[in-house]
Amino acid sequence: MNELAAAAELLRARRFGWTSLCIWAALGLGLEAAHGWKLSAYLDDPLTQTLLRLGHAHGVLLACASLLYASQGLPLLAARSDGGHAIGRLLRIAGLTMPLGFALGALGHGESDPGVAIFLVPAGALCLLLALAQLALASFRAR
Amino acid sequence: MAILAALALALLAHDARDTARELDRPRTFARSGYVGSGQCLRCHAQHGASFRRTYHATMTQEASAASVLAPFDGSELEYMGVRARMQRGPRGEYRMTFDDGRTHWQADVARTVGSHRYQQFLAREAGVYFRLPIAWDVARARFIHMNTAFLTADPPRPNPSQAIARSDYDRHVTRWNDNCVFCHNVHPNPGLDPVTGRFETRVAELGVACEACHGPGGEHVARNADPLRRYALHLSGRADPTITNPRRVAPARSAEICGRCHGQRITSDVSRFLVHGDSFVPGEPLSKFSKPLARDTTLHGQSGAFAARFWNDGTPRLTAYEYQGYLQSACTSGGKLECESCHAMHAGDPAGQIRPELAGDRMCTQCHRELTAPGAIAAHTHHSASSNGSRCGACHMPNLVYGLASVHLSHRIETPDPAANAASGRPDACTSCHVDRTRSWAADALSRWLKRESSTSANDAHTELPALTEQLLAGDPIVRAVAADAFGRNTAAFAPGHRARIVGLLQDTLDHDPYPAVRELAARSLAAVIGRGGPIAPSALAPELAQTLRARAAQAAIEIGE
Repeated sequence: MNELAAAAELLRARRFGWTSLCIWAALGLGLEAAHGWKLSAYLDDPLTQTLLRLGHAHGVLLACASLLYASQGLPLLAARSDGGHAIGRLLRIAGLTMPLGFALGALGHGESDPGVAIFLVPAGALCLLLALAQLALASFRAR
Repeated sequence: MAILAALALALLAHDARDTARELDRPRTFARSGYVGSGQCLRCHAQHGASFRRTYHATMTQEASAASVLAPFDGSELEYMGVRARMQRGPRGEYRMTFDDGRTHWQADVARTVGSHRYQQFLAREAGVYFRLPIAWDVARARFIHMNTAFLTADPPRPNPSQAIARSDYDRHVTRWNDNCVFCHNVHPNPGLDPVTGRFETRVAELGVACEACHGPGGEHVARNADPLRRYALHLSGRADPTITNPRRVAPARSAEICGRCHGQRITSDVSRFLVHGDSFVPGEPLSKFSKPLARDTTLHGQSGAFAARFWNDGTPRLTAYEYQGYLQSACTSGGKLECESCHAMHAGDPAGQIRPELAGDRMCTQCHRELTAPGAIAAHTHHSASSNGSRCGACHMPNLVYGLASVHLSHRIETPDPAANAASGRPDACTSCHVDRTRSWAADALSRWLKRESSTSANDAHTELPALTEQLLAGDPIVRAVAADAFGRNTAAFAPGHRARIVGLLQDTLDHDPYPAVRELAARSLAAVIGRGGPIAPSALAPELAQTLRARAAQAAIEIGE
């Protein structure tokens, strides 16, 4: 059961990691294009610039974190009955909500405050911290 | 995990309930301190940037290479025998030296006031700032004596080789601490010590900055440190009670915010103002603290002290009385008109600050939509739709307000009535453009259009000369200034045969008028009329008549300073 669950979790983590990396890297290309073509909607709005950059950076880093989890984290969780699924789910929620919160926060933002989607970020950050804490704990327990 | 999530949700719900309660809590005016625009810009960078473009923002500045617009390069200006020299001191000071042939004195510029049309200079002495007698004319890039900006006649000069008295030269060297400070800074407090007579003047910020219109921001900054509060406000669409947004208060209250400075006013307790400052906070009723000056306002129980600042019908005839004009406007009675109906503080050309989407007649047709129908404008104005006579302001906001060697449009939005205007001794819209016409011609034309009986028979005396000719020669200084300016406007319409006469009249004014401001306007108009081309001839006015009219003008001497 553990092995089956772990294999399924590995598959999920890889799928999520590579897909997410592809999407958020593509956003990076879009941002470069906005600079290249001097897109005023992007260049004239410093808050939108910041939020989209944060979305891109968090998306790429958390996708990498998911892949790192697949290769380095899952072996630490072999003893768990769910094969690390709960922790993986937290990581994937964080990987989804944090970059999306930043990117969507650029929509309908105020003069100095992002749009309401920004509230996804602290929720995702909480999930990320919980997952990382459990992984850190598992790393101490592992032999 | 579930416990943690539940805890987080409970905390959030508790905070949200507090936030909802907090949103309803009104501002405590007494506790709300001024924080300066630097604090505002941390969250409102775009509004800050749009406001910094305006001349309000640079109204009062410490003297520096960035703020001083004039070249202090040794330029000289001689006025009535006194030579002023503008140069840099040994440590880079912006220094003015004066020499009247007998004595020599100097002053260093400490602050500047204004940056749009004119820049005035302040010197500091014993903690008190004084306005210097020389200003910088920004548009024409030249120094001028303050008598040219304010309506002051040339002072008497004992003989051509002798300079005027120092007191006459320094006529406009006034104290900043209890004059200019009130309208050109945020939260001014002259700080007069009634015992010693000394000033400890304080302002929240030099120049007209955010809190001049929005009120003190201390409470706004503190309470909006809570992000939940900010999002609750954004999502609810409610006005933030911790700050005044002039666009979200009643039109009359919004106009009071501008009227505080653009409507000269008086308080019943002047000494309190001088000791404790102006307590008005934008958003509160202005009438709690002061009332706008009017033609019949009394000073120390005496009437007439301010009468010269208004036409006989009460219409303001000086700038900084726009609020009074607004209050007198028919458009105001509907309760919808506010200054920001036409003006924008954060958009548009800094000169005039007209809302960019309302350039031209759209300022009026945003309400008077019936005039946008095809043919409606020409039917309404009896002028060709494309002509100057069909521009709303030409008839309803004529140029009859004097300020700083310029003539500006009136902010009393009204229906033109040349007959009534003649009776109250003020220029009218019709003859301000039709500069070769008489008042009765204008009154008759209007009566014909309105199909009513002409009421000009009693004004036959005015029919002998074109209205503007008589005003230029026989009016008081403001009448003459307004007339001198009208001749040179590109809207001035006259028959080709009148050109020579107009040139002669303006030349005559340039030669004889004792007010430098009137001469200045005549000189500008003369250049404009000559620039139109055509023959030039000496004045066609009979010398005896010109002399009689000038004698009338001499009796109407007035002096208008601050």
